[in-house]
Amino acid sequence: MMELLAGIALIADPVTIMWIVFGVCFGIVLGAIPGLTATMGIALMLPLAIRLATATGMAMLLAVYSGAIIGASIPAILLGIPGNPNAIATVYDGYPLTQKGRGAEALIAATVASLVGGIGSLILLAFFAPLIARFTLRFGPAERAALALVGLTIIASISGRRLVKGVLMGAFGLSLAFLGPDRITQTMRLPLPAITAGTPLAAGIQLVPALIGLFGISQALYDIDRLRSGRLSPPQVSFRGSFPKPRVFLRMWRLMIESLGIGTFIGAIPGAGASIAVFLSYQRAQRRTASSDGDTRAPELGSGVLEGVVAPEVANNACKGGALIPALSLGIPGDAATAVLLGALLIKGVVPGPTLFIDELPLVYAILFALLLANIFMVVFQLLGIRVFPKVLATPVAILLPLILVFSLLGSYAVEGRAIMAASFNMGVALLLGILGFFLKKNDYPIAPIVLGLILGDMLEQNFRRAMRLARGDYTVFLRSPIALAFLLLAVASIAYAVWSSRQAAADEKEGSGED
Amino acid sequence: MPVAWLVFSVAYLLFSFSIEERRMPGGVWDPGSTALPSGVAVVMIGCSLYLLLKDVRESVRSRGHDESLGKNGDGFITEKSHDPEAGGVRAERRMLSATVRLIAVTVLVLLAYVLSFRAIGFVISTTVMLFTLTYFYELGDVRVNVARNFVRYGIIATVITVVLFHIGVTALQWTRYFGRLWEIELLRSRAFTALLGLLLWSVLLWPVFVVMKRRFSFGKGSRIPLPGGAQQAAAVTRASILAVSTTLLLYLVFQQLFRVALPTGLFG
Repeated sequence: MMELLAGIALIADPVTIMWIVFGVCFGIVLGAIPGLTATMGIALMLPLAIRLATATGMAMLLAVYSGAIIGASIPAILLGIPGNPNAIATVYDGYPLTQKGRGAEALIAATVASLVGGIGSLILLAFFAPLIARFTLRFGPAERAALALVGLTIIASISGRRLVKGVLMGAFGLSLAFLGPDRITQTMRLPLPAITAGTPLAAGIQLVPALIGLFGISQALYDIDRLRSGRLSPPQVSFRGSFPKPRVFLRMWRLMIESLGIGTFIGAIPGAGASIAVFLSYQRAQRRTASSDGDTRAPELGSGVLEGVVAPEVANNACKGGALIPALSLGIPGDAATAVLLGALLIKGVVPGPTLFIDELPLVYAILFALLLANIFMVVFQLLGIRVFPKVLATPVAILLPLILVFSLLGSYAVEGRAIMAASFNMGVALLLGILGFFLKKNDYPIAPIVLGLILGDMLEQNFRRAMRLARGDYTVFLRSPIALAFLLLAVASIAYAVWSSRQAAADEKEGSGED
Repeated sequence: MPVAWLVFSVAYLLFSFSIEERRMPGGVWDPGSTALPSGVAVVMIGCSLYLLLKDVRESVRSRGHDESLGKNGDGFITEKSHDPEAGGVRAERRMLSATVRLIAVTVLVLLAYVLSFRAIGFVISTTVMLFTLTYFYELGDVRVNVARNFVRYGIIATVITVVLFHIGVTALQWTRYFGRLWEIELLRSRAFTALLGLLLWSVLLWPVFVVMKRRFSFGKGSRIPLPGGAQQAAAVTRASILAVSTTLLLYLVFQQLFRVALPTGLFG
């Protein structure tokens, strides 16, 4: 009880609440601009977050995360352009509703759905994360190394059909993680040590500039293409009689609970991603509306039905809490955005896992409370801002891109704060990785695996080496431990599923083009 | 791309061999500090070779294909004669080369920014960088015939920023001085001085922006005839406003609020 109160006290101060409000507003605006993702927003805010107190910084990042997710539904509904891939399913019914003059109604439905998904998954997170964390107390180095391997197999699912490219990028991330001092023996691992030993590279590649470069700068360079298309043309949104009645939502309670379950479960599977969850829940909504008492007058999903907005939005927001379950309890990110959040915790010296739930319990409660507040503010600002959103969507790309670029570079500089030499070096790292990320995107290489490699490299190496030492060089230690074996099987299954589903998709596409 | 990755992977493998091999104390069975870097390098070489072979195989297969197939800006294969939006191959190429020029200028400006940041200082380098990027992004291309206006208004924007910056910083220093003198904690607090700076600069910037907007009123009534007309006038105005206001705002956020030591450079 004392820990709970201490956790709430960490968040319930005016400064932290102000940062949450700022984070939510920033997130909503960012998510509303097509092409800018939650991951990018969190990466951009990371330098500010690490200069705040741990709980305040995490609260702000979670607020950006929450805001960006709900923000992505705005262009999906008003323009028919999803703010990010996770809002694709929202387009199917959201945009037809706007075309019918019911855009504001769709936005309000999406907001209510987001609140249900966000708070529902938060409750599940509060229940499951400590249980899993307690279970991880049984883990030794072999289990941890196997767990890191499972984390790395997320590469398979986030790479889609580009599996080999994804593995290459993951290995590249690991290769960057191994630069600098070896954490066990303190051996310097530097190319051209005579030159580089006296530079900030001797400390290794810092996570924040790498994240900012890969997600911020590369995306801004990539979006230069959009300068030719200019600004988006927002529609006129009608607000007359736009508030859906509570009974409309009460009628959908089953659909909401199902979508909540789907979203939280899929979100908790590392690498599964919200895009799978939103389509599964949309499919569920399709079945539900089709079987609604054989009512032939009921409009079909896809023609502008509120259920088609509510189901994917509940699932999308539920993924947020779901993805935090493995992140907080195991230290394995559920998706790219939680990978950056995890990075923020690690930079602050907080190690996710059982110790977090034992030594830093107030911080855990603070994170949960911050997420609750972020969800509430998210709803408030989404509802207040409905009239403003069409204007946000009209922000010229020519103004947006220089702001992102300068904020990215100064953000990576600010990580070191007062050490100007190291700070300038970080700017260089961010820029080089940004340029590299741009070329990788242009050539259809996935970027998120690099981040996974960077985050999990240290965990994999240290635990693998310790496990080998304890087992006296016997590699079967990973097969003898039931937990490690289970993780290895999970890793194999994850890769096999990714390969199978990508082949299936390729076959379907081939079949489709054959029919055309 | 796979060739570049192959070269990097081989270089990384060679680098991993050059690392001093050390094991943890008493750890004969510790694979050592080179094991995983070497392993990762081998994986990278394998993947690069696979991608290289795949590329070669695909290029051989597509050699005999119809010449009318080309790649659009997003890298998708399109049939040139049936691309309705691009307005023909020439227009598409022109668009692509403008984008390439913009990307090249962006990369060069960012490189110059990073390299000159410490020497020139935060205020000047940030203003110039923001002005340059916004100006060319507004025009949608990098043109030589606008160089004179670019230099002239770039200098004006930088001078405005430097003058306002010095006025603001001096005011903040005095505020803190009086805070110490009269022992008023509020006048010394980071949040208060940042807010004060924001108010002061907003008040000072307002007339500057009003004058600029009037002088460069876009469209028919443009008082200053610029080559390129309204588009140039809009580019100059937006770039100046964005560069000046953003630089000052970033100074408040990073230096005043978060105590980040931004380099003073030429002012040092």
